[in-house]
Amino acid sequence: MSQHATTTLPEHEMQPLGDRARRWSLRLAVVGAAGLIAGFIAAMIMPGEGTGLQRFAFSYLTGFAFALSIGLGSLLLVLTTHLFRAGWVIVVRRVIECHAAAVSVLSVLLIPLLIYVFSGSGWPYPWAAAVVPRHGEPGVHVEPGHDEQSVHDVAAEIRNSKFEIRNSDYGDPAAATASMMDHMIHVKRPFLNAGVFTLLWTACFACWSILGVWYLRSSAAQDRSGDPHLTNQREKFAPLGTLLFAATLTLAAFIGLMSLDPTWYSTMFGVYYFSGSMIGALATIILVLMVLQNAGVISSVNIEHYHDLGKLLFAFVVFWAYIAYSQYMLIWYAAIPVEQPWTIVRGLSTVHHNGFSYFALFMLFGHFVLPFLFLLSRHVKRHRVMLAIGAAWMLFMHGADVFWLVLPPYQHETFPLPLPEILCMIGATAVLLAGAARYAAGVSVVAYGDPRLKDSLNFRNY
Amino acid sequence: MADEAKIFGVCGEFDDVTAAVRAARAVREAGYTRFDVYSPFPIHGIDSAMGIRPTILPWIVLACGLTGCLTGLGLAIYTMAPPPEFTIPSPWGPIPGYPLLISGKPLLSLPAFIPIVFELTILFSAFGAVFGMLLLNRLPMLYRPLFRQGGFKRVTQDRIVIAIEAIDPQFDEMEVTAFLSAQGAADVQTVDK
Repeated sequence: MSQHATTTLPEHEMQPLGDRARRWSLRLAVVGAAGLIAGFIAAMIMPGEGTGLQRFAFSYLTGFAFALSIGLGSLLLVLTTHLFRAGWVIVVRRVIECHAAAVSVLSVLLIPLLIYVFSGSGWPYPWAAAVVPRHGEPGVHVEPGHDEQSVHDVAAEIRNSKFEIRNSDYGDPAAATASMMDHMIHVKRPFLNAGVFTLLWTACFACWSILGVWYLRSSAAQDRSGDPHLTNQREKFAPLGTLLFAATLTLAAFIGLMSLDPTWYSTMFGVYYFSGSMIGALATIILVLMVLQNAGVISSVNIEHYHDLGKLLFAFVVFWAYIAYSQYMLIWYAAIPVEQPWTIVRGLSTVHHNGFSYFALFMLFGHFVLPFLFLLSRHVKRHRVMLAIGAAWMLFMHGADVFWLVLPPYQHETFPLPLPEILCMIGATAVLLAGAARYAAGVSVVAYGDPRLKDSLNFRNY
Repeated sequence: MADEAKIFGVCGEFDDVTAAVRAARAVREAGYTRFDVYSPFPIHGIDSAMGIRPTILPWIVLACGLTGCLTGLGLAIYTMAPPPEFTIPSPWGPIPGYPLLISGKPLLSLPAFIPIVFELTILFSAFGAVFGMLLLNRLPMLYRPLFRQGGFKRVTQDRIVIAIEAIDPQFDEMEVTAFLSAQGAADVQTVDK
């Protein structure tokens, strides 16, 4: 349509990145290892409610879940842009593809988590404890029906708490909660055990690795052959891939994060983790593209592509708020005893104040209200520096979101200083980026074989 | 030569996008302000060529959205948790709120109000966007003298028309006709009112 001002791809963007990417991969791997080790040391010396090893279990899971979310968000970006046959994305798609393929590298980071689960310590997952601690004296026979009674105790506690009776002196709420935990761990045993944990994670990583690597390989093969049928093939598998992705991400979020509190469940939780993943991925992709552009590796990406990525980032800021609110509102309105503790330890209660009360407000304003108002304007999304600020802020807030999901079961009466978590997040993300750089070594920075490359190069927003 | 008061404007037909964009830029650079480009499809870059300023529609939508947000908040607070002694006066007497105690929740519960606030924000924004767009485009416009011009029909097929209207302060039929021809218009016609 627009025959005027046709842009073409510079020669250097068609060359494989090679040693340059390999060097970056090595550096990032070193940063990753250093970050995780520093996180471990920090966890050991941080003051807190449990031991250092216990703290590190939660810190490590925070880092792992954060890095994984960035990789998974990238994978879905690859899948959906094929699903919608998006033309604008081609110039930046190779960078996203490399991040998606790098999810396979993160499977290495699963090993410490498996060690924790198989050690029987019960951190970070209470259901993984070798001996499930039952309240009361050891060896006392728990009568049938006892657990049901305990559920009512918890119900009474929460009901009464509505009328401002704090730290009630009726019964022992802590014991009631512990009993409830026993009951839930018992009934969820077929799902929450080390074997199923290993199996599900293996299956999930197999799915993600196959999808991520296959899309990258197909796209790289197209660079060499220029065969448009490869695009058709990728588009054909995108719907199936998206369904697989939805199922595996939900399972992973359930068993990896939701099971931190075996008494709690939310059908919304998978979507919640997904909405954060997209924010993490889009923010990372925007920042990585800017770094690559400043380094002169990629010059074809222009403000139109950033604008579109910014629009998606803005959309997922709204989507996150929608999902977070929907989940919270249902729990708040129904006031079912089993669902309440999850929101209470995360500072969402106006009755039970704890270390996360202000953090919950910080999430509301920092993760939704302020970025919503900031990214609302087209002029902000079309301004490189402003968009970089928005993306960096959202990446930070996504980290805060994962921290908020993971840490409260470990410590919530006082706010845990998140130093080990930040170090673990940096470390795990560096491992993901190292993987992405390693994958990038064998390919060019732009998928120049794609038949829609010209559309993307000349793409304009209205 | 027709009387200028009875002329709607002069329109030039182009059969090439690049030429039309170049001509649109030339028309603007020549100082004409009351002109428009009619095309069968969107043209990239025509906005800047014609010098169209960014629309104020987003601000209208934002204002409508904020109004909706406050309306929803006010409505929910007034019905559920009216301040003491606060009623809306009416010919049939004061209308009080209708506070309902639901499952022991406080009357003023923001989480319960969010759906109303959200829906009204969206509703008002959508109204602002649709009706604001119609208003800014002066729609619905059922008739334009251009429709009478025979060649104009091809604007929905394979022609791009640039029409300079007689209300333009710089308008002069002869000059405009010569100008459009010079820009490579395949056909230049004067359109009567």
